[in-house]
Amino acid sequence: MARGYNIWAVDAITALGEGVEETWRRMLNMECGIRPLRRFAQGRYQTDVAAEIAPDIEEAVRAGAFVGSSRAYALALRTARRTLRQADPRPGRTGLVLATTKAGVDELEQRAGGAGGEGRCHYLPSVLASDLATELHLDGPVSAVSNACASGSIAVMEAARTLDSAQCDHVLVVGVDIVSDFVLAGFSCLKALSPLPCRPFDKSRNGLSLGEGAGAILLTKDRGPQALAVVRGWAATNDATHITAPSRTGSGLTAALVHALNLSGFAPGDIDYINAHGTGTVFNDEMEARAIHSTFGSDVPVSSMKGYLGHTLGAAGVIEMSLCVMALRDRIIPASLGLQDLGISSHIRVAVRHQQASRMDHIVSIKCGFGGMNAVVILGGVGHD
Amino acid sequence: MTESARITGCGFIDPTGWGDHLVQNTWPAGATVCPDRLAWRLFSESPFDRFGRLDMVSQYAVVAAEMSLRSRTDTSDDEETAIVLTTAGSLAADLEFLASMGAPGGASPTAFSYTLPSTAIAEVAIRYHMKGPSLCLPKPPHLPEIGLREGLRLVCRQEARRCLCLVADAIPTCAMPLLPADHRGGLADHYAYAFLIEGGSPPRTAVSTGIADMRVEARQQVIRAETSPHRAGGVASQLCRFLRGADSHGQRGIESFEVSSTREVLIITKAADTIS
Repeated sequence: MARGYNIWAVDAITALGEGVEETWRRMLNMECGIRPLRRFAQGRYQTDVAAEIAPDIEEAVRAGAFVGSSRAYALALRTARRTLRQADPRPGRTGLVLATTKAGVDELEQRAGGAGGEGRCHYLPSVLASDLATELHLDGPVSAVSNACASGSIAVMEAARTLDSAQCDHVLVVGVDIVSDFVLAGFSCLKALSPLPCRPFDKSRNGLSLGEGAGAILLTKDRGPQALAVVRGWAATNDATHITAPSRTGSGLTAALVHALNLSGFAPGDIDYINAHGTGTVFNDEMEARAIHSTFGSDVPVSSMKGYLGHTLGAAGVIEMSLCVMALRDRIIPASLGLQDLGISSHIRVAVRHQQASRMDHIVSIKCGFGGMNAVVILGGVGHD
Repeated sequence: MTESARITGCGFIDPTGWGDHLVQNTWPAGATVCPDRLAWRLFSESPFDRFGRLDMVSQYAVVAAEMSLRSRTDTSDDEETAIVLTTAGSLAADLEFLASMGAPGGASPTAFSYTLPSTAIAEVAIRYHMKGPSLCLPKPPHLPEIGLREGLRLVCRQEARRCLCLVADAIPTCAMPLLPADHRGGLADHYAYAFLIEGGSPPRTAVSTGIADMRVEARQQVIRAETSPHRAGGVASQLCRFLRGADSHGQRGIESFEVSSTREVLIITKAADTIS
């Protein structure tokens, strides 16, 4: 399999701020974006906290999109524009892969609730992707990936395959998902939400915190002087056991980790940091720890970004990958915010505080999702061919 | 670059009937199309426990998958993957869940479990132990060839040895106004088509191990075989008929089926021993 897909530009809009640099800076300050619900009624759901976009950013995001557009569209459009500006001008054709779980579900809530009009139908990921591509004047292939919370990582794989098929020269991967009544009610009825900000890998963890945001990555086969990082390899598997719960043994994720290493020609010892999915639910973190331990032992540092940003669902793979590019650049292993007492049965090295790494050449990013989805992407620095 | 693979299985369920690459069964006159009833005939269990709990699009997907996988000579493994191409995705389940949010009993966890477009592919993966990569591609209805193209790409890149490509939708009447105007009308609203694609070199002898060979070739010019929007099931339905040995008008002896996109053409040729 051909390997080496260059990341030319990244961006993210999260509860911690606008821009991947701002989000990263505030992560390094150990700031938590999970706060009391702002746009939703308190006391209505299993939790009263989530990682929502700040009001000032929300205003700017809204101003950039047409009146009445879904929040998902407005967020995705803004992060996409910011990303493309970093790589202008670009020779050749640019395609788009959108990653999302519920896309513009806020629009569906309104229309199903009796709001009239045709609307844009941005609750259909394909329509959201098509409208984004039109607005951005992208002339390459356009597609959408909806693989639950592994969507972002799987969209990066899809983008790389699209580049291999020579249908375009660049692919913009955009991940977006929003906090909505729909997802708050859904995860509440599954009893999956933590009443307080989530605590991935902690003994007292008791659920996830929802987050929202958008992220974008511009992927190309041409290294160019502006390359920030390189996608070195990937693998995806399915547990094939349950539609909402992960495999208790972590066997599916273990297989994905092993495949990704094998296909990219790396040994476990070549990996310097593992960006875990780390949702803060009892079963995900336990399963993930098992898979990480069985593949890497206990030497490679691990952390979750959910304690800062909440779980941004289908956008998580793209947002967290863009932050991994910052980690590669600064050679910093970010701490797992919320972790005090490690509470998993397999011994893995979860970072409690930020660490300056002596070597930061390769990062493994793990994302998992409902339906047994496991996705692993290996990122490398540009100077480590 | 030319990529090639084989189609080794085919199954479908739509308003015209149900079957595989050999047989098309038609629904009795006046009968309601219902995958639940068909499941009793297809599955050795009576039917398997989960089936009745699945959402409608998953039921359609599982029935089509079952018929396409009958030709499988070995059991599934970690290298078997599944792709679903869907236009409406989980829209029906979304509406059901939204309705439950306002109901006296509160939001339904069962309904929420089906509110992802990828749920159908997850159900197929669970049922058939497909542990390779799963891929859910929500697509507008006028890009039906993408599922096959993706399957071909995965097996040619050796990311999977075998790929089950599904085109599935189950759109209730009440959800139709929620689709964009250019997605409505045309062909059926409830359907699933399944094509099993295997990697490796296509057979060159008269004795074929598959139904058809499939390859992709780059096009120098922009060509589209289909000029008007149609539901995703349209081309998949035509391909099913082709694999059974007839074109869309019932004419037999057709040897090649082509679907063009902007930059390439997907060419499907009947295996030598299956040409009637």
